[in-house]
Amino acid sequence: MLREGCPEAIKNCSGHFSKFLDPQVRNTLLTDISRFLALEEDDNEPAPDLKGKMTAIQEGPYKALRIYFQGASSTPREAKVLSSYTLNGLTFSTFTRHRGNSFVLIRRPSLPSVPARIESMLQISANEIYFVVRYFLKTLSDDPFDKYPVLQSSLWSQDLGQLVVIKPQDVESHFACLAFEWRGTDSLAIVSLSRVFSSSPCHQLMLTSPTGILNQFFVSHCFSLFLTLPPFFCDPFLSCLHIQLFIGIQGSIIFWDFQLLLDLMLDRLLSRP
Amino acid sequence: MYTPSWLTSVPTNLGEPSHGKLKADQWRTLGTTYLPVSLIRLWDQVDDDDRRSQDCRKLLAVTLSLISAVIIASSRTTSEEKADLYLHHMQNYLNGLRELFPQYRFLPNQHMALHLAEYLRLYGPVHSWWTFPFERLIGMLQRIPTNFQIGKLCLYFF
Repeated sequence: MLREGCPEAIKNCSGHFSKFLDPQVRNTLLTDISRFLALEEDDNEPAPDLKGKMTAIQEGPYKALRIYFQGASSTPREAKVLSSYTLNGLTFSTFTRHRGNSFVLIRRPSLPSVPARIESMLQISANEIYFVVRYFLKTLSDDPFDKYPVLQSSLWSQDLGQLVVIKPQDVESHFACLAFEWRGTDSLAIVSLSRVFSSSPCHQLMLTSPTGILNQFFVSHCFSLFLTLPPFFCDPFLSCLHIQLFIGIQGSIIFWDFQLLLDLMLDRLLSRP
Repeated sequence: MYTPSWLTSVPTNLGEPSHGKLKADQWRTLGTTYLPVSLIRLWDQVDDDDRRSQDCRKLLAVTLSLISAVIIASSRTTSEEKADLYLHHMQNYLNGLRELFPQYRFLPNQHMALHLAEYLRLYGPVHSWWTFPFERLIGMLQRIPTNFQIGKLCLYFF
């Protein structure tokens, strides 16, 4: 789209393409599609009317806010307390509302991300929202996940640090976690749900294929057109047959291997008690 | 395990016939989210005197090679380095499979998986060219009511 001579129609679709490629929008295909279908809608929550909904900020979050605002006298004393907030199609919740949605990885410049849980969400003004979070502390036990960096998993303590204020944009992704005892220590295994695997961030080269995206985009829309045609122009059975021809198997190869491997593992375990 | 509400759910009774076949996204979620934590907890600590423990460790390494390959292949960004890393893990997985299960006969899918590194270099992230959106559309088409008469107009549609 950046090349000279790109048709105007394609340029006008840049919003669609960018949403197709946004690495942090959603992590599964189904949610990707629902995100795309909701393209014309602003799925970030509309700025609500804050009149009459502002309450005094509690002592703990207020202290964290004062640190965030570096002790400035302009540190807000009132805010609307939110229990969930949607940004770029992802819903974040407070720990008391939904645990899974409250666990987030916070990005730090030039440093690995840190897991935290959202304690509260404060809306200061229509477009000014802050998350009050507690970071998880690094475990003192040895981390069995260190040997497998590609898994984007790590072991942390279940203990939490002080309250800290961050902006929603500082959130890298959600994470999945499991609490268990590891070598006598209460630990938390954390699995990043970011779909961007970064082996060496400094040398990250973003490769995208305009041709591939165009194929996905236009072929999908041609299919949609099939649905709108009268049946004597396009019999659904024939359509299905034709569309089957388009189906490659590349995407399902590696997932099919999981099934195979599990079968083999079960065979092995059952045959050797 | 705590997961966000948008993550594809995996059957809680995994392994029982009642949940039917898993979809590709469920396999991916199972493999990249649940299996690493469970298997590392179970099999990472090796008892040198126990043959079974050693075998489980080998099986863990092979499984994690496959999971690593899936994570790299389904990343929303790619590079020459990642394509090489994908190939490295996929080869490790297949070599490990051959070592652990000498009687196993490899299938064409496993050969094709080795070509994905080449496609990552040529076409970029799989997100832009994989076929899952089409499969979803096929599902939509299959749910369209028809009169089972090819070429004959069905007044139901008007």
